[in-house]
Amino acid sequence: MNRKEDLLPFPFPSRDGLGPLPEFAELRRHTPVVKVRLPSGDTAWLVTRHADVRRVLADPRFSRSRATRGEGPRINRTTTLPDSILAADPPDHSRLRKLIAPALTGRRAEAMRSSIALLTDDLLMKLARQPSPRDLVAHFTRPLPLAVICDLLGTPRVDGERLDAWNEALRSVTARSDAEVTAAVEEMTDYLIGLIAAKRADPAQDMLSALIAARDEGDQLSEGELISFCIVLLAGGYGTTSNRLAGLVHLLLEQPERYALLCREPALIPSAVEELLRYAQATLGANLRVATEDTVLGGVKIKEGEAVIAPTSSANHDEHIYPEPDLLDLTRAAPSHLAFGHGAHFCAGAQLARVQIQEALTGLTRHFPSLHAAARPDWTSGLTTRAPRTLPVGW
Amino acid sequence: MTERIELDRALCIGSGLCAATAPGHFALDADRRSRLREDAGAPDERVEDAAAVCPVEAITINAPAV
Ligand code: HEM
Ligand code: SF4
Repeated sequence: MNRKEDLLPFPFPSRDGLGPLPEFAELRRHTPVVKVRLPSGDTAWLVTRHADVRRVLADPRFSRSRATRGEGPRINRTTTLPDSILAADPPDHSRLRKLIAPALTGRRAEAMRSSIALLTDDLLMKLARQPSPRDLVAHFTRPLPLAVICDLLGTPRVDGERLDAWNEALRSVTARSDAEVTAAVEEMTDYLIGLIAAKRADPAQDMLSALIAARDEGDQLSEGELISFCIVLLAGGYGTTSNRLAGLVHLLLEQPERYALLCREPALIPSAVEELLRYAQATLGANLRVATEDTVLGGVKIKEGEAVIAPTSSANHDEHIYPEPDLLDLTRAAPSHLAFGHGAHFCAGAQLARVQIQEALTGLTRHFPSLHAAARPDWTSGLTTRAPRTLPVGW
Repeated sequence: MTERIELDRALCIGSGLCAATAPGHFALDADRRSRLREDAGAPDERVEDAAAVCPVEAITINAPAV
């Protein structure tokens, strides 16, 4: 048996940038299923190959509910949002997912494209009137997804600065104490209670009204689930999307010929977005899953009750699936990456995120064909997600 | 007469949602698209859930022809 000190600590140390972690590559090659120690002190099986990651994410025998409720292995000692959609298993998960799925289909995302393009033009025209250089995060990559998610939910364009602080606390596994994370969730909850009360009094044709109706009329979700839903939607719709967008623009500007290629051939943008999402190792961890029965994974026996961690960042660089995985090739026709997850929890906002990122890059390349990095970005540090905190650009 | 499950593989983006939601009916192929399992029975509530959550509306359940 492994003694405590022999186990590899996970997550691996973060480094600035979005490039591939050498630890993942090494494990994929030699020990694709390995026992690691989590910040809580508990152990988990870390899987790094594409096939195993996909299996863990889609196989109902690896449970999110078991990883968030009752006793069992955990990443941190406190579990945030135990009643959110991300902590539920089918069929209970389906009850929650069905409430938001109709508003987030590919068809609905396409219907939002022209208004997203208008928002993009508006933000970029304002930016163009400012002196160069400017921070693209503050002026573009944050305000765009913030406006889109607020419009979708039907809330006023909520206070981005406060959301940033909360999002950062929610994302941090290693940088903050459990108490700080709990405090952020409590503050965010108070804020959302106010927002929900206002919407209850004045419902409209939007996602928040639909969720409130499901709560009040259909009794399809609890008050706690309603709040957790809002937090997940804001964290995903705003935090994750703005982080990814900034990261993707950074990758394009890091090697100016990448950006120049998209300016010359805008038709490449949709597939380039997929390759950028594949390449960027923005998340260094993953939500834990717990095995509900004994099983074998990549030739290793996993016992009932043991935790498994399946990072998509590693799967997206599996050399069995992507030749020369560490090469960012915007013309690569890459088979579907796992940046939006897989299985029951496949990102509910994936199609909307795609439309936003495509329109953002279309607008940027059109308005600012000479965009370039004006200084090194500042990176979020010590978190399990990596993103530029600032992106100084000139034009 | 039973209802029929229709799966539009051309639309499928391989999210894996249906396979995780209704594992008795859907599985992913090597090409990462969903397919109906050969041993799939008549559509049940799980299949209705899968149809409702598919992000590209690739799954439909058709009433039997009269
Ligand atoms: C580039 C942007 C985005 C990326 C990379 C991303 C990534 C992800 C990933 C990897 C998951 C699965 C987590 C897991 O399995 O544990 C997820 C879930 C989720 N995302 Fe996103 N997301 C993005 C944008 C969005 C947007 C725009 C929204 C909302 C409109 C959103 C809402 C959600 C929700 C509600 C879930 C939970 C789904 C469930 O549990 O069934 N995301 N996202
Ligand atoms: S839920 Fe829809 S998109 Fe996802 S795998 Fe099934 S059919 Fe394909």
